[in-house]
Amino acid sequence: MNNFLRFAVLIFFLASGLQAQITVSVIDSSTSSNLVNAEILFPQGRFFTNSEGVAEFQVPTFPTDIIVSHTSYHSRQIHLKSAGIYIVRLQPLSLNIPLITVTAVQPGNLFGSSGRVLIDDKIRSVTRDISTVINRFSGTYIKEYGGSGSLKTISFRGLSSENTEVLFNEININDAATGLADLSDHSANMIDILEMQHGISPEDGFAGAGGRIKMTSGLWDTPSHTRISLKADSDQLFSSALSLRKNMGSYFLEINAENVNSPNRYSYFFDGQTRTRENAFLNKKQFSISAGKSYESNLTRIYLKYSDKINGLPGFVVSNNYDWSKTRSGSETRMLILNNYHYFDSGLINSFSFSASGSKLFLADPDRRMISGSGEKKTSTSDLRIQNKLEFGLEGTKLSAGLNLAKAELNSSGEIFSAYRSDSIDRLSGGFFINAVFEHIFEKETDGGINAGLIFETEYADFPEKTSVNGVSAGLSYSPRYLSPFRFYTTYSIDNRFPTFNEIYYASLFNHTGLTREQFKTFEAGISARTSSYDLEISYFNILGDGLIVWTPFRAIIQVPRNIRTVRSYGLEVSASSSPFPGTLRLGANYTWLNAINKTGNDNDNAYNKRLIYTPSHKVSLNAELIFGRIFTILDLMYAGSRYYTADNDSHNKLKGYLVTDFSAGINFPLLSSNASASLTVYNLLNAQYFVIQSYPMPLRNYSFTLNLNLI
Amino acid sequence: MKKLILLSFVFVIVSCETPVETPPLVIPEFGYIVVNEGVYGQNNSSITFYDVNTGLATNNVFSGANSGNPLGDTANDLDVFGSTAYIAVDNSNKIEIVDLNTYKSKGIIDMGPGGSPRELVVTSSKTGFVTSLLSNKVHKLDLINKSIVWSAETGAYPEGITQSAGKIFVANSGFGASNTLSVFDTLNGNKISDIQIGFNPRVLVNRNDGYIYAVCTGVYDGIGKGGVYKINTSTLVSVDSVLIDGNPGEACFTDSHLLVTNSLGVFRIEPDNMSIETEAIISASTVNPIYGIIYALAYDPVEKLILAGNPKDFIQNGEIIKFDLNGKKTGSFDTGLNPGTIAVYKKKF
Repeated sequence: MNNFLRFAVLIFFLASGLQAQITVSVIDSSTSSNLVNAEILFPQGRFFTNSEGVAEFQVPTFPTDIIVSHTSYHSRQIHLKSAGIYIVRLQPLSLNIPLITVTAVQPGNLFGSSGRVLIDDKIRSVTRDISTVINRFSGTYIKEYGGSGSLKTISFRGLSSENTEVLFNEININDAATGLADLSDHSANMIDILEMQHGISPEDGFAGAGGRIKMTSGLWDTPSHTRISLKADSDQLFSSALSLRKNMGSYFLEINAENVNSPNRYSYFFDGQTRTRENAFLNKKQFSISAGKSYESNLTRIYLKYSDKINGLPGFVVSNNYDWSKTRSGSETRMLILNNYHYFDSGLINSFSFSASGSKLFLADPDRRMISGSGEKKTSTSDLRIQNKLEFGLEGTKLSAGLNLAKAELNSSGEIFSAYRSDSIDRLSGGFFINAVFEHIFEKETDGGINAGLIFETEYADFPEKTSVNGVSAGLSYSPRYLSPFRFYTTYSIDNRFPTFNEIYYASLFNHTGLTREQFKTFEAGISARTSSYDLEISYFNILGDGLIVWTPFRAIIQVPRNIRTVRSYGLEVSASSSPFPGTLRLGANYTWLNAINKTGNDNDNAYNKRLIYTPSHKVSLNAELIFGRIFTILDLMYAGSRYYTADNDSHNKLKGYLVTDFSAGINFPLLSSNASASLTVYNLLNAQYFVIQSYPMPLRNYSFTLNLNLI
Repeated sequence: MKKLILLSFVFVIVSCETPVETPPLVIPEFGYIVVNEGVYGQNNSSITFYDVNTGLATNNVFSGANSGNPLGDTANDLDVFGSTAYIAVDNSNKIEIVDLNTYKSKGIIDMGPGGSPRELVVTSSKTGFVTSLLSNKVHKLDLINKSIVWSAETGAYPEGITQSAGKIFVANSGFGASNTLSVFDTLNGNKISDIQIGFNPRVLVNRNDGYIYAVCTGVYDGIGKGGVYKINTSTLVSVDSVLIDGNPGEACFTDSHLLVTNSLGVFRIEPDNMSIETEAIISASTVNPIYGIIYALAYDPVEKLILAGNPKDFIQNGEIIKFDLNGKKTGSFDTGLNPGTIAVYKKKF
C-alpha cells in the first residue's frame, strides 16, 4: 500500500503542473450576496464554496462541464472552455428572474441519502449501460441474466424492483405491464445526469421505500456540440452513437441516436468447463429529439424518443442442458415528454409534466418452452401521465402541492399454459400530495439549524378494484454549526404500491385473485457530511413491509405472484467519496449491510425468519478515477455476498458471493478538427465465475474499445 | 490510511462462506424414495430417502453419493425396476439411472436438446417408455444400451404414461387445451387409437385389472372442472367417469379405492362404480396450510399409509405427511424442494 501511495503522490505532482486553475464565485442572482456551501459538481469530483462564496479547484482538460447547486436555488450547468474566474448567479426557488437558465437537477436531499453522477465522456466510454454507474450507489442491487441486452433491474434495500421508481425527465418510466424498468435500455450516450434517492425527499415529494433513480436528458445549459462515439468489444458487440446539440439564443435543439448490434455471444463457466453461448441476436436502435425554449418566466422542453429493440433472452443453463436460447423479445416504443416550468411574480413556481408513450412488445419462443401454440405472445401498452406541482418558497419555507394522474392500458394475446388468452385491461390511477419543508427553524441566520419536512399523499387506483390509500412521511434534519459539516436526519414514512398488470394477470391464471397492495413503513436515521474534500453518509433503515409481492414457482414452468404477508428489511449503508488530489484522483466507496427477512409466522413454514431470496447481506463497491494529463484510468469493483434462492435458506440452494472488477484506461487527444478520446475497458478483469441469478452464468472477461470524437 | 484499513476489514467480513453439508450415504432396505423436483431452471432436483424402520429421512442422497453433483433440473418422475431407479429429469433432457444399493449414477439416457422426459414406465430391466413434454413424442427406451428404440408423435404436451395389454397409453395434457389419450403399439410405436376424455389429462393410474384410470385436471378457469375416466384397455373405450371440480390432480390406488386430490383435499373413489365420496378424507389445508396444494400422492401397502407431498410455498423444502386410511395424520418427514413423486421401495415385498 505504501508503494501505491507513493505512486499516487508522484502522479499528483506530475499531473498538477498540467492542470488549470478555476475559480468559481457563486452568488444569489437577486441580492448578489455570496452563497456559502454551494455545491460544484464536475466529472472529477465535488467542491463547496467557502464563507466567501468562492471555490477554487483545478481541472485536467478543457472543455468540461460543472453543475452548481444549492438547496434553496435552482441548479445551473456551466460549460468551461478554459481556466479563469467564473461568476455563477443562482436563482432562488421563489423568485422570478427573466431568462432563467436552470437544469432539471433537484437540489440535495435534506432528509435522506442521495447521489448524483454527471455523465461525461469517460463514463460514456467505460459503460455499456447505466448499471455500472448505479452500482456506485449504496443500497442498490442489480439483477441481471447475462448477455448484451439482457434484462437488468434495480432494487433497493431488499425490496422488489417494482418498488423502485425510475424517472426520465421527471416522468415515471417503469413499464406499464411489469412495473419494471430495464436498465439495459438506457445507455449513457442518451442521458446527461443520473441521480439516486433513498428514503424520503419532501423537496420533491418522494417517499418510496424502494428508492428512486432519475435520469435527465436535454439539460438547459448543455453547450452546443457534435459528439460521435464508437464502441466494439471482444464478443462482437458494436455500437455507434451520435449527439448533436445546437443552442440558438433562448432555444436549444438536441438530437441523440444510438445503434447497438451484438450476436449476444459470450463465454461462461459451468459444470467445470468454460463454454460459449450465443443467444438470439441483439439489435437496438434509439433516437431522441429534445427541444427547449426559455423566455421571460417560462421554460418549456419537449422530448421525443423512439426505440426499437430485438433481443435474445438468455436461457438458463442446467445439468445436461446447455442449449442456446432461441427465445427473442422485441419492443418498439414511442415516448413524448413535455416539461414546463412557470415562475409567477408572486413567487409561485408551477411545474407541469406530461408524457404519452406506447409500446408494442412480442415474445417469440420457437421451442415453445414458455408459450404454447404459436409460440408467440404479443402485448401492447399505452401510458399517459400528467403531473402538476405548485411550489412556493419564502425565507426557508417551501410548500408544494400537486396532482398526478396516470392512465395505462394493456392488450395481450397469446397462449400461456391453459389456453389462448386475449386480454385488454386498463387502469386509472392518480394521487394528490402536499409537501412542506421548513429550513433553519431555530437558527435562521446561520447555516445550522433544524429542518423539517412533511409529505402527505393519497393514491387511487381502479384496478383490480377501486382502492384508495394514504401515505404520510415526515423528516427532521439537524445541522449543528459546531459539528459542521455533519448533518443528522431521521425520517418515517408510510407508502403503498398497487399490483402491476403482470402481477394481477399471472396471479389470476391459477385462480389466485386475492393479490393486494403492498405497504411499507420505513424508519431511517443517518448522518451525512459534504465538504470540498470528502463526502460521507451513514444511514440505518428499518422497513416493515405488509403484503410484499414475490414471484414463486407454481407447477413446473410458470411463476405466480403472491403476497408474503410480513417482511422486515433493515440494514446499514455507508458511502464515502474523496478527491485527495482534486482533478487527479477521485475515490468512492460504499458498503451495504442488509437483512431482509420473512416475518410471516407459520409453524409449518420454514421460510419464517429467513432471508428473502436474492438479497445479499453484504455489498461493497469501490471506484477510483485517476487522471494523469491526457491519460485517464477508471477502476470499478463490486462485491455482492452470498444469496439464497430458496425461501428456507437451505445451504444447498445458495449462490456464492462474487467480486467483479472492471478496469479502463484511455487517452484524450486532438484528431483532425476534433477532441478525441480512445479507451480500452476490461470487463470482469479477474475472470470471476459467478451467478447473479441461479442458472444464468455471467460472462467471463471481455475487452471493449471506445472512440469518442467531439467535433469542434 | 485509516480508510484503507477500514475497507480491508469489510472485505474480510464479507468473504466468509458457510460450507455446504454433504448428506451421508444411505443403503435402503424398506422406505420411501421421494423425487423432489426442485425449482424449474434452478438445477436443484434431489432425492430424499425415508427409512421406514428407523424413521429417518435423508435428503440429497443422489448428490451425496455422486461427488456433490446435482440430480439435475426438474426431476419429474421415477420408476423402479429391481434395485434400479429410472428418473425422468425433464429440463436436463436426461433419464438418470440410479443404483438403489448405493445411489450412485449408473449413467444417463441423453434425450437431446428439447427432449424433456416427463413421465416414464419401466416394463422390464431392458425396456421403458417415456413421454417427451416439449417435443410431443413418446419414446421406447433400450435401458441396457441407454438409447431410444423408436419415437412416435403424440398429442400436445404429453405427460402421464402407462402400459397395459401390449399397448402404451399417453395422456396428452395440452397444458389444459387437449382432451385425448393416445394409444400405441409397444412393439413398433404405431398409433392404435386416440381416446377422447376430459380436458388436461395428466395422470394415468394402472390397477392391472383391465382398466386404466385417467385423471383430467381440467382448465385453470376458477372452477377447474375435471374428472377421472375409466378406460378399458382392450376395447379402448371410456366405460365410466366421474366429474370433479377443483382441478383434480394426483392419484393412486389403495387396496380398495382410487384416491384423487383436488383443491379441497384427497377424495376416495369406488373404482367399480366410479362414485366419489362427498367429503375429503384428508383436507388440502391439512397437508399444505400455505396454498392448500397436494403435490404428490402414494400408498404404502405394507404400513397401510397414505403419503401426501406438501410443497409448502414451492420455494422451500417440502415434506411428506403420512395418514392412515381414515385420513388421520400419523407422522411426517422433511424432503427437498417440491416433492412431486413418491415411490414405496422394499427390496422384497
